[in-house]
Amino acid sequence: MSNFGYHNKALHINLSNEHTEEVDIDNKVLELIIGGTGLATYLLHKYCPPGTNPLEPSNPLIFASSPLVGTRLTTSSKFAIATKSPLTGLIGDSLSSSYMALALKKTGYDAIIITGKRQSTTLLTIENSSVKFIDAKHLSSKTTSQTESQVKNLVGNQFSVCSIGVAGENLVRFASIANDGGRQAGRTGVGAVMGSKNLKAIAIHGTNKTSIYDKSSINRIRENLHKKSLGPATEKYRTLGTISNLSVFNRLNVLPSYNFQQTKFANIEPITAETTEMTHKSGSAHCANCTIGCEKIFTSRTESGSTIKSRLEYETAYALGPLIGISNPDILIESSNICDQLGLDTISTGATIAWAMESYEKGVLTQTDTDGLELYFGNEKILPNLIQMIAEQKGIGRLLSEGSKRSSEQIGKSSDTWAMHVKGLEMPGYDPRKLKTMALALAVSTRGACHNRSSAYESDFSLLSNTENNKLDKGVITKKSEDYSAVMDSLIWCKFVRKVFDDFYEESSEVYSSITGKECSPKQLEESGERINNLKKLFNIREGWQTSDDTLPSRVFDSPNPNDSDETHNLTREELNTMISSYYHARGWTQKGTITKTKIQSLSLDYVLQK
Amino acid sequence: MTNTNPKELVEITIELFGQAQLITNQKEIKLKIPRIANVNDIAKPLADTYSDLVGPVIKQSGAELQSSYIANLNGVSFLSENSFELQDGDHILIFSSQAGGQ
Repeated sequence: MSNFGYHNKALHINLSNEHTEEVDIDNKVLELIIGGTGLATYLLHKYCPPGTNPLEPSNPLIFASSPLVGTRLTTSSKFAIATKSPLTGLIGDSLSSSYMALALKKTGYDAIIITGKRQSTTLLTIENSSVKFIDAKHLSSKTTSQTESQVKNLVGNQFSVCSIGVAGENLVRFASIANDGGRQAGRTGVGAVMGSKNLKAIAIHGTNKTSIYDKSSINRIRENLHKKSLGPATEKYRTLGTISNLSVFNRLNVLPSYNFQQTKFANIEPITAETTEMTHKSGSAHCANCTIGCEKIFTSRTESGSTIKSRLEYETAYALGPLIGISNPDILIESSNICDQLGLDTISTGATIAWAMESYEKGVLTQTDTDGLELYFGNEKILPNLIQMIAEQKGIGRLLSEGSKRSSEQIGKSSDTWAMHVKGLEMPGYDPRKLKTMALALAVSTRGACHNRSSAYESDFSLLSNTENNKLDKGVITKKSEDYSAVMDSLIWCKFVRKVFDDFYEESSEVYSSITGKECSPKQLEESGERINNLKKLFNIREGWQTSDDTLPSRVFDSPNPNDSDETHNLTREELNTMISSYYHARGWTQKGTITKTKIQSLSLDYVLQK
Repeated sequence: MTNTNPKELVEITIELFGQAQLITNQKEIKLKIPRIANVNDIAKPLADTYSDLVGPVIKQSGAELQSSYIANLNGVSFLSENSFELQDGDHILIFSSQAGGQ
């Protein structure tokens, strides 16, 4: 039987006893949860024992492919990672992209499930069904770039490599996994889980291809999408890149600065996309099979005269810039590069440093705590060294490597009131006081404060006036936006291609059916999105999620927007609670946010969870 | 709406962001347009003054913003195709409608 779009099996690798096992994946389950994030979440339910400590060997690290990978459709070269997050204790899911996605698909498996732990630092190679465990002590303490390069020298350039940096090795709770020269599965600490298994790198190569059911249809769709992806719908991503948000968000008073004490950054000019386009930008890069090329490369000049190249995205620029009072583009680019090389999520790094800086300025942390470092906002001189200390867990870096939530719990003295996280995951660069649909999405997201598991901000940035916008049911909007994102993350499309579609569900269902040969209506696809979000939530409930976890940091309610006199641009607890109630209602959940058996059955999740 | 003449001209400031700013090499442009206006009343004089905006920012017709751009009044309200009333000194921001970022 030809497996159109899928291999219908996964590979389970136990690092402890070197046992490998092919596992069949139920055909109907694949239809119900698509692939990518949906598949990774399903496997997480199956392979993560309830109550597992995220840094214990039993926590699975799951890499999942999707039906679109290998079709050369623009932006489809992506893969999903899922694990139990060491930062949130709930679902940790992250996406990355490029050639690693193609290699993973060609192994002949839809997913790789890694459990157990090596006794010492190891390189795992997967070539089709052949798995090798190679001693990699010589790679300890290497940067992600050095590791990728040395692994390729060892096993050959036909392999794609993902690796952790020093941060992952040291179990920093917001460590990332890097691949393809700097792409990052950044959020929720997936790199710490990889480090906990003493797994420094994974090299993958395969020769197994899946078939496409209707090649002529996919060829036609590919050509059409290619053309449209070069039009206005992706203009921002193709030209200035995501950092162009900086100047706009600043003007709209929604750019969190100084640890959310401000929503506007006075000295924004040197780091805006409009400025750095002239002063620091040196090129663009594409993921495999991508026509957009959103990745913008910048070059900084260090004090010693050397140059450093790094990609720079909006979230990195926000977190290592205005959030900590930094306006020097050279420091920003250098710090971004250091985070990538050490394998650190830039958002959590910046937001945890912002917590520390406010703690220092309030006298909660002193120079005794900081090893003499003066942690005031804007002190750019300490930043590169401080990031290194976090990755190496040295001095104050040991505390900060735990993330803002745990750091504030350890230090006490009310410092939790300025720890800007949701469920332990640090906040992205969207001020929720004015962006109210986004506020709801940040509060209820299953992976914590996340801007990528919905695009709820689009409602706030819509053509509607604020008055009209305030009348909309944000619960319904957020629910639909999350379901839409879950479908994107499971097929997988890059979010930056979303505006290319005239009718996302209609066009995506045609793509899915043309690849797999399985009938799938737009409505069925939308239901899959809902199913996947319920599956994520069920994992969280199983792992101890409480209704009270769906909230925002107290600063959002207790400190009015300092740069905006319009009272409607503030957020009250009552307002958020009303929106959360509306969201639970839209989801068909109880008013406590739990999921009934009837709901589980109506989404066929009882079937999925039994398989 | 006030009882003032809708065709009366008011002076407003257009703030340009992203590619629009780089193409024109201007952050702000002063324009006189009718008190009761719509987005097209802004796009047309911009296209007349900065023809390089036609294509990347303004549609080939020269009278309408590209779908990838959005207009906002004073950093508060987003403007639709419907008419709106302006006051002297108002600021209209033109920037990308694609709000997402990594």
